[in-house]
Amino acid sequence: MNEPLLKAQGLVKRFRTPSGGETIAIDYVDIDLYKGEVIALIGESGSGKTTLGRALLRLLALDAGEITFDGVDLLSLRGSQLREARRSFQMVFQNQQANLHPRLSVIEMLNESLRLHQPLLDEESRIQKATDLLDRVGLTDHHQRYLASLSGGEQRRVGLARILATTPKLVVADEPTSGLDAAIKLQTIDLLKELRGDSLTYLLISHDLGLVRRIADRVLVMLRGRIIEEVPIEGLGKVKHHPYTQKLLDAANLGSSRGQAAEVMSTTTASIEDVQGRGPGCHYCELCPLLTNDESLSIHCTSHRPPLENKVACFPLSVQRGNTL
Amino acid sequence: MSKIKVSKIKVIKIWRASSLSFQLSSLVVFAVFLCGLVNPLISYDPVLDVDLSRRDLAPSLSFVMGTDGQGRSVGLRLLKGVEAFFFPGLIAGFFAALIGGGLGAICGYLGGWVGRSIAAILELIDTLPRMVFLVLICTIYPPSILLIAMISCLLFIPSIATVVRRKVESLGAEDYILAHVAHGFHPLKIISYHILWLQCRALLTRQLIFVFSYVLFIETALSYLGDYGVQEPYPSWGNMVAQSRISVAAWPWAIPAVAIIVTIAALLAFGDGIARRDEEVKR
Ligand code: SF4
Repeated sequence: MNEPLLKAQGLVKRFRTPSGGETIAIDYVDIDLYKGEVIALIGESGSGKTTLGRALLRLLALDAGEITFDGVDLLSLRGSQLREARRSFQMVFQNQQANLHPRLSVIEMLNESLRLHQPLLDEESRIQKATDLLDRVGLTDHHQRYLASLSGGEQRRVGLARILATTPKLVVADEPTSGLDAAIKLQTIDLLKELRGDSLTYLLISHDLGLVRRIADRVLVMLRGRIIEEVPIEGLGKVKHHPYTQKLLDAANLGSSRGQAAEVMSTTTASIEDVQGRGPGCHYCELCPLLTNDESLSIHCTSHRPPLENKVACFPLSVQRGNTL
Repeated sequence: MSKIKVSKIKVIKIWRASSLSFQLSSLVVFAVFLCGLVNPLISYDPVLDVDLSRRDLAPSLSFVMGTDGQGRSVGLRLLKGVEAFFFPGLIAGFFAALIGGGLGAICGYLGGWVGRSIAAILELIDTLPRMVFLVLICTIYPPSILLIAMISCLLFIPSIATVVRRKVESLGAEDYILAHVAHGFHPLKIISYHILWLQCRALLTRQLIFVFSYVLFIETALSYLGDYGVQEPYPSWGNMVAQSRISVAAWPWAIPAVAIIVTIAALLAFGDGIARRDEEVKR
């Protein structure tokens, strides 16, 4: 764990809103991903986590920032160089059907990927390889099947097999278990874990804390385009968290006891998105419980943006953690 | 060898599963195509065919469809008349589908303001009344079937592009395209293969057939409205109807008229059938 596999600095992405204004989807984010680690990026929908995941893989144009992947300046790659580089970083889309075709059979889809990414193989060894890949994801008897006859979990597996047809070092998985029922979710998680065997780095974008607890090594919490806290998985729920992280955790715990984690999460979402406009201060200052009885802190928080210091973007907590270290 | 066998079985299977209207229309389309393809092999001199001694003969064994007001064989002219619209129609349809499909896919792929402005220009062109425009062109330039085909092709490019663009947008375009970019495909491959071939091929075939039938239709209409279509003495189904509408006998105009109606109806039904077949989910 010395040089990060992917190092991104000062990423900024702005979007035009239909009304002509601008929103900032990624707000000066720095992120390091190390080889073989699983990083979970959590936050409610609209926090910019999907945008960040896509930006890291150069799937959208950034307004500012630098990304180094495996020693290469990613943003300087063009055309065929970039396409070749994509072999080593792949993405699992939330919409699992996005890269599958209703008119190609499973084996044809894999064959297509292999032709693209392992051009030296001949037809016969491609079929052999595709068969191996399907065995690996547990779809041995599904060669001639089409998308419509596959279950959600099986579609996910085909997607994963397609990714394995490349030689990925980094996989960004956007909600890889959304839309799956509990049993298949577990299978998919196991599969993800297993595929990790070959020192793959994962960036897992999810609001499913159950999934995160199972496989992540490190958790990044995102709020309104900023990363506001970074916790190793062992520390999750044990250290004193940023009040927003705490709220997410509480919501998830409350939800899982009722079996409705997702629902509670989305309620949290609504209450945050209700508060419009972003002042110069902390993104959480309108809702922060720490401010209620501290006048001077309140003034500071609403006029200054807390940097990510001691792995938490919160003035009082950064100081506290600094003291205990 | 085995491949041919498999495709034979497939064809029979598809045939059995098709509706009656699709079966009938595909027979007609097949017949018209056959006529069109053998046409260049048939030699026919429209001037030598004139024989005033055998005017307006009723259908008989020697003239299966009778003769017209100048004693020419209606059957032979009907067959030879296919040539008038066949290749021009095919070419017009092919290029309209190719260019329109390409433009539509590019608009959908690019999205953003570039895609939107191309789309807006195309939609503007699409509001031109086609028929009026064609008549106008034909009064300015010497009328010929090639000109008609070319203009029809141009006139259909925008509407095809729009249909394809809508389709691309309905694919949940952003993710479909992005997922392929992310996987490392070349943009040209995504446009030509993943969008046009895998997702739009039936739609484009249908449009091609539509343009093809439009060329036939418009040639008829222009022949009838005034001599803008294929010029006498060369036969086209349109001018056969137009020239003999004053003739005493019914067959010289009734036969080509029925041929036109049946062919156009069959083409449209065939196109629909193909599109519908393609919408069925593959399992
Ligand atoms: S910086 Fe201030 S407002 Fe923001 S979370 Fe910390 S205490 Fe709350």
